Formats: sequence, C-alpha cells, structure tokens
Amino acid sequence: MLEPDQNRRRNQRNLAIGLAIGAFILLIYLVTLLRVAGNIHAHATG
Amino acid sequence: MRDAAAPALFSAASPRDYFSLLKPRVMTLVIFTALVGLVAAPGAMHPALGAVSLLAIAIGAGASGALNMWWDADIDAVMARTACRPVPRGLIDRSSAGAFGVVLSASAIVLLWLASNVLAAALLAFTIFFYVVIYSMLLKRSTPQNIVIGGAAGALPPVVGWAAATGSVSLEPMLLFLIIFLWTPPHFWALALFREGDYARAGVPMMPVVKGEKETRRQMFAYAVLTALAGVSPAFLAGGAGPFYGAAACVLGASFVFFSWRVLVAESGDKKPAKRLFAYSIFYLFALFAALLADALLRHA
Repeated sequence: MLEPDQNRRRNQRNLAIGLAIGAFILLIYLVTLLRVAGNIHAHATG
Repeated sequence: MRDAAAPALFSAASPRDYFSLLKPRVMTLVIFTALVGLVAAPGAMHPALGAVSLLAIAIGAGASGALNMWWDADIDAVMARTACRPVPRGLIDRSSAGAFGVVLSASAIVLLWLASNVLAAALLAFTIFFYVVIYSMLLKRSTPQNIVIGGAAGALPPVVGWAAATGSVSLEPMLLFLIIFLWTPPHFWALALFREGDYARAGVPMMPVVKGEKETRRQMFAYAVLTALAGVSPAFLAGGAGPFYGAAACVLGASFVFFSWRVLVAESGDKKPAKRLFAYSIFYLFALFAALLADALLRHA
C-alpha cells in the first residue's frame, strides 16, 4: 500500500511520462511536416 | 537516508528529481555552445528545425548526465559536491537512472537525425558514448588525464550544432572544439584544487591528488595560455570571426591567463585563487561564445 505522498509523486511521474511521450510524438510529426514541405519546395524551385 | 535499492514503483522521486539527473547547469553550457555552432555555420536552416535540433542536443547532454550518475553513484555518494544527487540520496534507484539515460539518448539521436542529418546524429551518439564509456567508465577512475581526454565530450556540442546546420564539419567548428577542449583542464583542475579532499576520498585520481598542487598549477597555466591563443584563432581564419570577436577574445583570454597566473603563484593551501579561476572560467567560455554569437548574427544581418 502506497503512502499518500508516494501516491502523489507516482501520479506526478505518470503525468510527466505521458506529457513527455505526447510532446515527443508531436515533435516527430511537426519535424516530418517541415522536412516534407522543405523537400517539396526544393523540388518545385528546381 | 532512504533505501537506495527500493523498487522504482514505490520511489519517492518526483519529476523534478529526474530532471536533476540531466545536470541542468551543464546542459546550459552545452545548449549555448551548440547554438553558437549552429548559428555561426554558413547556410540557412529552418528556425523550427534548428530549435528542435538544439532540443535534441540538450536531451542528449542530459542523457549523458543521467548515465554518468548511474555509473558513478558509488563515488557521488562520498563526495560532498555530489552527495545530494538523487541516486546517492536514494530517491531514484541506479537502474532507473540508467534506463532513463538510455531512453533519452535514443530519443535524442533519432530526433536530431530527423530534424537535421545523419552526421549530426552520429556525432551526438559519439559524444554520449565518449562521455559515458570513454570518460566515465574507462578514464575517470584510472588516470589523472581523465578530464583532459574526457574533455573532448564537452567540446563536441558546437561541432554537432555546426554539423546539424551544414551536414559537414570544417576547420571553423574544430577551432570551437579546440577552445573548449583546452579550457577544460584549467576549469576542472581549479575545482579539484579546492575540492581535493573530495576526490581523494572517492579515489578519483584527479591531477592535484596524484601529481600534487604545484604540478597541477603549472599545467593549468600552460593550458590557460593555449586556451587564450585558441580563443583568438577564429578571428584569423579567412571568412572567420570579425574584429569585434577578436578584441573580445584578446581581453577575455588575457584575463583567463591572469587568473591562472594568480593560481600559479598562490601560496600552498590558498584556495581563493582557484575558486576565482573556476568562477571566471565559466564566465570566460560563456562570454567568448556570446561574442562569437554576436559576431555571427552581425554577419548574417
């Protein structure tokens, strides 16, 4: 059985891990969009 | 003290404790020098991709810190300067710190590869490998040249930044590497001079512990002179930094040599000059790279 303080810190850690994974996925998505857009622009301008 | 072997599930660690595994103060210097490498490089990088690249370099630096704390937990526990870190305090168990470092390393390398190029990602991977395996595992406990050779890891971030922007490495980023590489011994030996007891207790063969204060001070002065000369060198490179940087590097370098000379001629046991040199060395590197950044921004404007 966890003590209330341990429980609170575990919840904080879970939230931090969730936010970090979400931010990482979002970053990968945005980077991919930027790289694809850059390549399309480069091909279009020859 | 808490039980260091407690399972992570019942750990009392907060996200802040995990953040402190990343050695945030060291990260600041890494981010700044990488930023200078990235901005000083020729060619235009999309600002958002540049920012993501910097973030990846910062995460990679933090990962190195976490892996270093995983490996060095035993000696961190006996040194006053590091005893308050989360692993020796028992807030985070060693295996969690190691796993955290590995996951962050992989994430940082992949992110940098996607945001910039494979060369920058490979250099970041090499930096992490060099810091953790070459410095922490092989050199730190075995030779007084530990921070001289290991300093290469701390000197690589501007090269990684440059590679992220250009996809190549040339003489200019190697000069930035050389400045930090030569700066590292006087910086860390100044710390070791006034924390000598700490290193001796932990069995870390830092120069003052093995060769004594006098020899350390002599070598520090020599490295400080070389650092000052290397600091000015970007101004003499064709197409390199301008006169503003050259003037700033001369003044900053002369002061660095002066502070090192004060350490060289200090009476045995007098710790003040070493403390002053340690503080100034941090200012020196920040100011020198700030001057380089300002110079690069003026040229790009």
